[in-house]
Amino acid sequence: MRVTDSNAYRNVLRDLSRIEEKMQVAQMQVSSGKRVSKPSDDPAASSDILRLNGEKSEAQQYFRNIASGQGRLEFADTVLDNVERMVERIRSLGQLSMSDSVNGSLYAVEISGLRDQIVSSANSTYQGKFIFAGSAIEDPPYIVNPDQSVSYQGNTDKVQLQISRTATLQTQVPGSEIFSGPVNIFQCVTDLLTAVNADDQPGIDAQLRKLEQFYENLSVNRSKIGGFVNVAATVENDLRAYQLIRDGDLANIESANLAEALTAFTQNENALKAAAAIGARVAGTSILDYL
Amino acid sequence: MSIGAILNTAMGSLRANQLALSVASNNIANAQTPGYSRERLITRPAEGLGGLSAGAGVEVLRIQALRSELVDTRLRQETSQKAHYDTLSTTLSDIEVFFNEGEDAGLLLTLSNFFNSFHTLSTDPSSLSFREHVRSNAQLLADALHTRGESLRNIQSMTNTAVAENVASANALLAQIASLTVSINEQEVHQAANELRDQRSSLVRELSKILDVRELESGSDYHLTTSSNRLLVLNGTPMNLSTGSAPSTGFIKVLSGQDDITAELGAGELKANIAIRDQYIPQYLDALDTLAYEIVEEVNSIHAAAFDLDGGTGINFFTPLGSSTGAARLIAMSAAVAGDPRKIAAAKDSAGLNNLAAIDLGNLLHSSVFSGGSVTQQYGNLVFAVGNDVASAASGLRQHEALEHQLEIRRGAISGVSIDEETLQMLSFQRSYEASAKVVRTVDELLQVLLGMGA
Repeated sequence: MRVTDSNAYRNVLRDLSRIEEKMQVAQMQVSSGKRVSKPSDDPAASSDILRLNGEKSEAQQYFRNIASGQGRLEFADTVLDNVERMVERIRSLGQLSMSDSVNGSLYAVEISGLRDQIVSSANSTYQGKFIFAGSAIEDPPYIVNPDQSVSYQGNTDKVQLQISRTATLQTQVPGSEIFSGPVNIFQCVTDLLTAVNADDQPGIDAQLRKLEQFYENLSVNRSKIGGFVNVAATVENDLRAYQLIRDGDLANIESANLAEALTAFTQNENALKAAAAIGARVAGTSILDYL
Repeated sequence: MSIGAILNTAMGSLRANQLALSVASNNIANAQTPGYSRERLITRPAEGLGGLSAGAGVEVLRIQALRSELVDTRLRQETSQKAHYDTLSTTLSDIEVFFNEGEDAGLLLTLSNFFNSFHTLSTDPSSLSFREHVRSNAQLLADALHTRGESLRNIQSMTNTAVAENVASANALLAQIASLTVSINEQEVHQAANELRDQRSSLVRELSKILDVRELESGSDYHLTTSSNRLLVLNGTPMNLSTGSAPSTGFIKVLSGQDDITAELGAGELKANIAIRDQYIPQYLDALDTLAYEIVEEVNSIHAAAFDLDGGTGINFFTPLGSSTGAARLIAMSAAVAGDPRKIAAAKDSAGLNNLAAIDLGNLLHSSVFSGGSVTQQYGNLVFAVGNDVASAASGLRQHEALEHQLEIRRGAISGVSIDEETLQMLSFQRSYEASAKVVRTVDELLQVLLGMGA
């Protein structure tokens, strides 16, 4: 094949630009840390990356939902723990009044104060929303009527949140299942007050037994809430595990192999130097130098 | 043989060597001129006139340009292919930018934020700030779809303009090619029109970038046609392409005479622009419109059956669209929802209290109710299609670039100038010239001897 001057330059130029292109690819991989930075770099991988990133942001929403639900459940548990202690106190006051009828009126005052506290516990708010009102979280669920009776304004919804594709988390137990459930604590305490005031021993005894039932129901609800918190924790752990796997997959698909990219860069850098040196030599040799 | 005849032979040799030197000089001058074909002086020994003749010296026949029609033709075809894939790859890369999906930007993020905002609302359906959050994410989603739809349409109308520009450039080239053909025919009555042919060949190659052409020459007949045999140049007459407006789309169509040849064009910039305008972009727009339309339909079907904060029902979240046509451009929140965040229907109870509809709306992000599976899968298919198109255009470009390079090298080997070769030729012609001059001096001395005899 005849070797002509423009061909020599053409070859050198093409080799230089090809090598520079490869260096640019390697340089971009190193500086961005990514093998796939636009869909055409690897179309199949980029649709996988898309799916994984979608799942990632979905999971992040589930984490937020879990955090929100856990906060509510733990707060409810704290409130119920308080209620439990107040009920305990009412029970001992009731028992005391049976053996000590002289101070009955003193006990009655304390019992009445505790009743008001239970009402306010039942109207607890978390981030401004009533947590024992079912889904009617805007308004206080328990209202004290003029005749001192307490009525429930909430509904019986058990509010749930989606915490994974398949799992939901109950985040609220309506007051109708706790305070005004099988035993209406407010009615029970009011009746106890009446009995204490009247020093009606069988009446006190009857109300103390009801109080016992309420106490049991309260424990059941507290274990339920504890169970919900556990579900949330388990699901969260699962989600974290998936998250790790997904991050690993993403890294495998998306991330550049730095060692490979750097090696490619160095190799091409050497090739570029060699091609440039040879190119200069090609341009430098001419018969004219020898005439 | 007379002394005069020797002088004539020497004179002829001086002329021939001088001419050869000027051919070499011209070759060296054009060593780097694109499209130049190196030239050679073709000579043969002149016949002597009877008797014991020593020959009549050298006869100059012509100056010949060295070129291969086969390589030139294939080079033109590769030029068309390369320009075709170059245009495809450049424009599709511009489109690809809109489908670049990162962790912190992109349509996917907007989509998941939109559906996730319903989950956030489900944690407290009564919260006006969470409702506002849903609205702002819906607006961001609508904006993201609008931007992509509009951008695709802009690029489509830009390629439409490019089609008109391609036709205008092609016509300008056709006129020059035709007028050069006239000059070539005039000049070739006397001698080979090497330079004019080089010029015409360069112009035809320039035209090949725009559209795939075929050259046909027999005797003084010259035809230039498209790959589907539509005449472009007939001897000295250019047959210009013209443009019209396609009735259905309003886009420019390409006409040869009265015939619409838009669909039959071979490779080249023109065809690439038409393909982007009529195939690639409509396909992407369709996918985007379908996505937008199905989002509107799915969200509305849940939303309209649910209850807002005041117990109202039957409200559409998005303004309903009749069909998917232009949905990406038209998607918008309904006036009710846009006007009042309380109108977002999160509840399934008529009091508007619970969060069950919000949960269903949030779950749409992964539900397989869309025609492409889940909404992420459906959008992923589009991103895959775009990425794949860009990647194949780029690989086509690389492939044809390599072929064109090979052919350029082939053409260079045949038609290119080697300075070393020309320099050596020049030296040898110079020596011949000097020797011929020596012959003249020798004849002169012989004549002096003869003239001295008489004195």
